[in-house]
Amino acid sequence: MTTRVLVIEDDPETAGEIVAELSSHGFEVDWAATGNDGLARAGSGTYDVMTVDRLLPEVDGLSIVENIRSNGIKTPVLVLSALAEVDDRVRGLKAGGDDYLTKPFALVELSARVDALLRRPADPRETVLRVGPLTLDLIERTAKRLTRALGILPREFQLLEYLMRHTGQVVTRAMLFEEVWHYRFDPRTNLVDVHMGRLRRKVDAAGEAPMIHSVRGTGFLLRAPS
Amino acid sequence: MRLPEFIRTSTFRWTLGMSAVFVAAALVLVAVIYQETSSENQGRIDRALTQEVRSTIADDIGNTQLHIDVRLLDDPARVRLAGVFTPDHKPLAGNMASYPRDFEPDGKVWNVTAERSEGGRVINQDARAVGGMLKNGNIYIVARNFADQAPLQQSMFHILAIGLAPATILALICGVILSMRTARRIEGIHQMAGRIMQGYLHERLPSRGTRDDFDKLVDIINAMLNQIEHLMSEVKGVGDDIAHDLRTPLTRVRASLERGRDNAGSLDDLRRAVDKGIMGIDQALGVTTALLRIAALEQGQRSAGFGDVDLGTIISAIVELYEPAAEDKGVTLNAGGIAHMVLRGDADLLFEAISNLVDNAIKFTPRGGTVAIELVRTEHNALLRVADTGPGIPVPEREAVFRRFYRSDKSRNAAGMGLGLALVAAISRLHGFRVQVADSQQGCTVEMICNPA
Repeated sequence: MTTRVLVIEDDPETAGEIVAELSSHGFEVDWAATGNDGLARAGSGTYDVMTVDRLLPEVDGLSIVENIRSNGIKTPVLVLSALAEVDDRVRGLKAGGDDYLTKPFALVELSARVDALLRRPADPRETVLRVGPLTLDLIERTAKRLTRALGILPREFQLLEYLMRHTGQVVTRAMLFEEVWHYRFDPRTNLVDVHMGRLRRKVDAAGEAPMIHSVRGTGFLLRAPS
Repeated sequence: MRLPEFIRTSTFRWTLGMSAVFVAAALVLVAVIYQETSSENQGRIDRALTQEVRSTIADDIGNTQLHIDVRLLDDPARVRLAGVFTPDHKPLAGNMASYPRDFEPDGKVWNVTAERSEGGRVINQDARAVGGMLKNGNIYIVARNFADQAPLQQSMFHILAIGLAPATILALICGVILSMRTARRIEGIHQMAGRIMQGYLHERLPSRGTRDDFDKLVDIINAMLNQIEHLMSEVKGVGDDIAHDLRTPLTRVRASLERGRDNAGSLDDLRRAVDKGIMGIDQALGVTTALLRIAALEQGQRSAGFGDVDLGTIISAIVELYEPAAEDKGVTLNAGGIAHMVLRGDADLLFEAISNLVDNAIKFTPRGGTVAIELVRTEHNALLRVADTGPGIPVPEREAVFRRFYRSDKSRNAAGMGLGLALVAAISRLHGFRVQVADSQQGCTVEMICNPA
């Protein structure tokens, strides 16, 4: 069954890029250009995920989210905004959005976040995560590649856990920063890369097939060696 | 019809008002003088009449006819009246044709209407009259018509005409002249203001140097214009900086894309060129995003994101975040002071501000140096100190570094956008904190003075 995505965005060029990017990930993408059209389609509840622009003609993006939430529709929503107001994100999430992305954004950031929204939350009863040769013990807080103990630090453990929960998906620096450090801003320097580099040297020792890959200078991807 | 300009000036209106008050005061004064003078006259007349009746009765003159004739002689104004009447009010002598109505010969003064015989005619005259009984039982009356008050009234009108009217006209002329001067002054200011509005910002309003009210006002406005001109030039400076900071990366983007299109021999070459282009555009976008954020922070109250925040927790997270990068650079990163300090704020913004300070400190500290973060509780505030062993900031630049796009010559070549500290300052202000570069023996020490709520 294909995944259906609804894109509510009034600028045709931006919408075209978003639709092309998400289609290339194998999604079936519908585009609504106005608030009313978006509200009508979103209200049908037949989409797996949607992106909603904050400023739309007719109906405001946040009103759409509030409206469908009050009708019991739980479709995950990624709010997109070009607004510079400082507490815009807080308002976006309060209205019922699940994630928030500020324009201008990299397309890979958008698709990574849509992917993350689609991923169903892991079974909370799990105590061990496994990807290929990699084992993460959530109780003992230890990591092993086959039998080799990785000896990772607490923060590296959190990074690895997030990567393993999103195996095969691109996770961006900003996502890691939000999910692992729980702070929200755009670190301009390569801070996350430094931490990731250290984790990577422990996971992919010399001579082993690499599992952590860099993606287009924007993010990372963990995958079992083929 | 349009009134002349000067009539609408407040000076002219004040003059009109003052003239009206002056006229009213003069009228009141003249009226009082008139009243006083006429009642004084009447008193004199009354006393003379009473005295005459009394002495005539006392003298008990026999020939009343002669007495009356003498009395009525020498009266060109025809104001004197006198008469002798029988006890039943029949006229015996004098120029009164009949006994006055409502009159008692009791030696007191009465207001009466008397009939005066004048060459065979009878004229009614209003008069003050006094009467008394003669020894022979007849009634003796003397009276005086007070129509001769008229000259007094006339002289009063004269005083008004020759004194008040010219004074009023003079006041009005003065008012017109003063008002026209005011109007001219305003016209001069108006013209200059028009030029300033057209963009000649260096122009100033004309001042006469007389320290009058207008000069004071003009001085105030000129001082305001100085400040506006200064701010405008600052804004223009920032505008130039923005243009420069956007043009530099965009020029690189353009060159990279152009060369990629013309020279790329393979898809990988083209990708590298495009990647360089994206990097440059990201840099330009970073500048605009940072500027918008600073503007939004400076405008706003960010109540939605405010809550109880532990500065200590933020600091340990920052140290943990920056430790590997500092280690790679050969810089030691230390944290000290108290471990917890809860205050009201926005955790994300405070994290951003403090990490900016730490980021800067690591950037400017040479290999082998130290960056120390310290949280101290002072008497009224909490103090966050980020000290490094880098080259430091010269005293004259210590305030300027918190301005947008300010870059000291030393940092010109270092990476960064010149907006980091401006952002820190904006976030501090939003929290009611103060941020400053402190005196230090070596390196640079930035202090954030936090007021825990």
